[in-house]
Amino acid sequence: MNDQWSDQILDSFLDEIISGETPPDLSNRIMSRLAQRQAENTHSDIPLPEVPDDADQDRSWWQQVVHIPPVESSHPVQSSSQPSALVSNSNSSLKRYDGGSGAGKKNRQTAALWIGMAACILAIVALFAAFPELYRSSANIAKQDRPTPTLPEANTQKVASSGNATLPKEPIAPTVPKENPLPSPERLDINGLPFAVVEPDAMPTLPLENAVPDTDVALSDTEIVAEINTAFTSLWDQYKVKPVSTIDDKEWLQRTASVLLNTTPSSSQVELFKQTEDPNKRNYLLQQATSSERFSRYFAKQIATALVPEENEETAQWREDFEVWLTQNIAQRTPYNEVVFKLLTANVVSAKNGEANSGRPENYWLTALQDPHGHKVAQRVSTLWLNQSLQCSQCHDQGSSPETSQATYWSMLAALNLGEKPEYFFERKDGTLKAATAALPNGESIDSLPPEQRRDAFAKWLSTSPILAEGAVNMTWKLVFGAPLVSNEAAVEDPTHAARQKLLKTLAQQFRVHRYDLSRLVLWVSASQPFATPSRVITQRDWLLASETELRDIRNSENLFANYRRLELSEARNIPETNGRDVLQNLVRFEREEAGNSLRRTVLAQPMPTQSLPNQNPATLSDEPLPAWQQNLRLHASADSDSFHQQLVSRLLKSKLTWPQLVQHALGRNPSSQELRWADELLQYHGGDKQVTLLKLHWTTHQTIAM
Amino acid sequence: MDLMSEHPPTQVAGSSMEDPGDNQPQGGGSPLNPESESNVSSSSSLDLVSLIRQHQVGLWRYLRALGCDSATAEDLIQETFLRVFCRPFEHRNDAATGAYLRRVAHNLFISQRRRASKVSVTERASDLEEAWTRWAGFDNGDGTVEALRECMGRLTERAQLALRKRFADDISRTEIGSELGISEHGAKNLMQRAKAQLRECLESKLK
Repeated sequence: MNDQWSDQILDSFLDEIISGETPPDLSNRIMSRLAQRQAENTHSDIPLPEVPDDADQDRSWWQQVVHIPPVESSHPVQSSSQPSALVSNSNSSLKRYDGGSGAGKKNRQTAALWIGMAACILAIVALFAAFPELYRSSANIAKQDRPTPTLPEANTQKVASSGNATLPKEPIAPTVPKENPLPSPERLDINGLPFAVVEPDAMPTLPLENAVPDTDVALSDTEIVAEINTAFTSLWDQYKVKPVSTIDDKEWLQRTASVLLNTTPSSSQVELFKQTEDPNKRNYLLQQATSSERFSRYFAKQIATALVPEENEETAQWREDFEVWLTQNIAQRTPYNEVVFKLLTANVVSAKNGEANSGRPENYWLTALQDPHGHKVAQRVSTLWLNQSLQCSQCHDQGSSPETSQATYWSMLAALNLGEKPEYFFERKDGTLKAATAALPNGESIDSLPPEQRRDAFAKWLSTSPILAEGAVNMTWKLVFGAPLVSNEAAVEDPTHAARQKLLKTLAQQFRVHRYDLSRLVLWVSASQPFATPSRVITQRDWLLASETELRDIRNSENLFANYRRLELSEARNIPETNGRDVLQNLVRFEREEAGNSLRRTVLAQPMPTQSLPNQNPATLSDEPLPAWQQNLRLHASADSDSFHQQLVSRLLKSKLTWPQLVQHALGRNPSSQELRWADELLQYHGGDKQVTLLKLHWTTHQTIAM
Repeated sequence: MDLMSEHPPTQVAGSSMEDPGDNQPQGGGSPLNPESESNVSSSSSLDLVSLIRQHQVGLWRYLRALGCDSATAEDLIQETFLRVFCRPFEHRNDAATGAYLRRVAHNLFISQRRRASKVSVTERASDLEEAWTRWAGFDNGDGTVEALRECMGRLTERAQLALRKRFADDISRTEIGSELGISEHGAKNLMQRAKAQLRECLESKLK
């Protein structure tokens, strides 16, 4: 990219030399125009970015984020009561602008306002005097065509979708509170220059027309954050616990930088932030951060990782473009449901055929996830957007809920219609084959639609469904806190589940009302009190030596405080837990090492320990965070916590499935030959105990691929 | 608490919450008070003129590199300085001010292009700034232009002619090829080789 700019710069220099054009002297012109403009006194009092005072040489996130460039800005006047702390340096011949000097300015502004109004009135009078028919026709129109009340224009706009389909319209959209206008990414200057240069009037306004019932009340940001805080403080009161304290500025800044921007602030930035006395500085910085390009890029990368399960040569061809596309959508605050709609209705193209750079990036996602039945897409759709894991439903019903039944799963598969077969058959529990009927997850059949229109119908339903918003909230919560707000597969029973579920629905509702604005959702979550409570590293020592009660306490503390992990530990957050293959490899490596140790079976290897292990040598345990897959294993291994999975595996073992098929069920996907070899190796380490081996495979890999 | 408040926090000593951030200015300040032009002393006017003269060349070249024609570049330069002078601004050093002016100019350029519906929303601004600093960051590009002029003289006449026709006469590669008796592809190759030689020469001179 630098080469491209270098070429462009050198070309322009070459042009200058060859064409003989020379840079003009514009000083007189500018000075005269400046005098004229000052005389008109028409400029607004918008604070422009100041030149920095510190000598920090790095182009750090602070400098990239906390800056408002002078593009079409409409900032309010900076309070003149605030001390102007930028001290003039050595050159004192000119005085620093101090943000406003009182009465003289106001008088001029008032006079200019009156003069402007008078000029407008005169102009209108003159216009009507010159063109009397203008007045008459206007009056006639007013008489004849008195307009009936109509919906706002935004409500009648169509969705600019990728295909022919458009998002369905709903007649009434709520009004977003005026006192909290959307942050303005177009005013943020990132990396020196604006990234998201989108004016509010050019921003997508699609979600107003869909999915927002008129009964929804749009809360302000403050009220929404208060909802989160209230939910958690109620839990703390209920369990008679409270945070030790709130984190200090340094830790808060490090956490924010890590979670939202994937960076670490320098010591000078921390010092700068600590010295800033404004009580609203955290919110201000959050607002800036969630509107920045860096945030958009980082969150786009994480969402892309969730959407694209694994990287290979084919995905590498379009992954970068796809991330850029997602980044653009987040930066422009494209409604999340519209992004989902675009993804689901995209055309399937092939990067292998040289179309990688010719098509739209969003098209490649579906292409990459294609398999003979469309299972990959269905699993991503269910995990990310339907807020439930349906992997198991591929083979059997999950519980008694129709939403997670095998038939529902296959109906969704038929609705998405991304497999290679015209019809979908699945094997029922009794061994019979049944043809899947294309239907939406709410049970509505779309089987009568032509196959090529079913995916559009599914996308329309999904993009207006509250479930999508709940999935987005859960995903956002996980990106911020490291764990979803409501876990769909809690190994240990979560006593806070009901309260969390209620909060999830509240946030999802507000997310819909506020135009599915992902950045804003992140802002709410990160401005909440749980985000600012101290966190503790749950080390390997904690995890592995914990008794069953202590283990339960650890999980409860996670549920109560939301941020039990030290979020600023990037290495802890970047454990490759999104890739089931890596997890399986780690598990095998772990078991291999254990097999060679005198401690043949550790607490992790014991399927049902009820107490902490007395023979575990604490000296061998580290203070590092325990990888997520090991945490899952440990949690599932606790007593009375996993009857469901055990029953499932027992049922599988009673069936006539072969070992590779059993492994496939345990993993929830087709294993590769390497993964089958690892499963065989694991089986050996467990003395041929298929139940233990399958349970481990399931516990460690099943949850980890979820967002 | 108002999350959406657009009031920047109180600034602290030695720092700014609204920090353009590319540069690290040191030294003297040149603040201007835009709300009372009568307060703008003759000395500050003089400073403004010298500031314009110091940076207008670099800005012009920068905008031309972005793809502006001369007239647009001049308009944007004027607007850039007006924007900067009409609002709080403090000159700390030339490098910082130059970077700041480029940023404002680029913002205006983007706005202008956006109004004309000609711009995509993403530009790797950091790449551009990096490339600009490499080639023209310290003297408005004077040194590079001068070196390029010398390097141009070292090209073969045929290559010079091709480049001249391309840049000065703005004619297509096909026409250049036909005038030189070569194919369009040949003309393209000729110019690419010439530009590669120029760059090589330039890099050796600017080392």
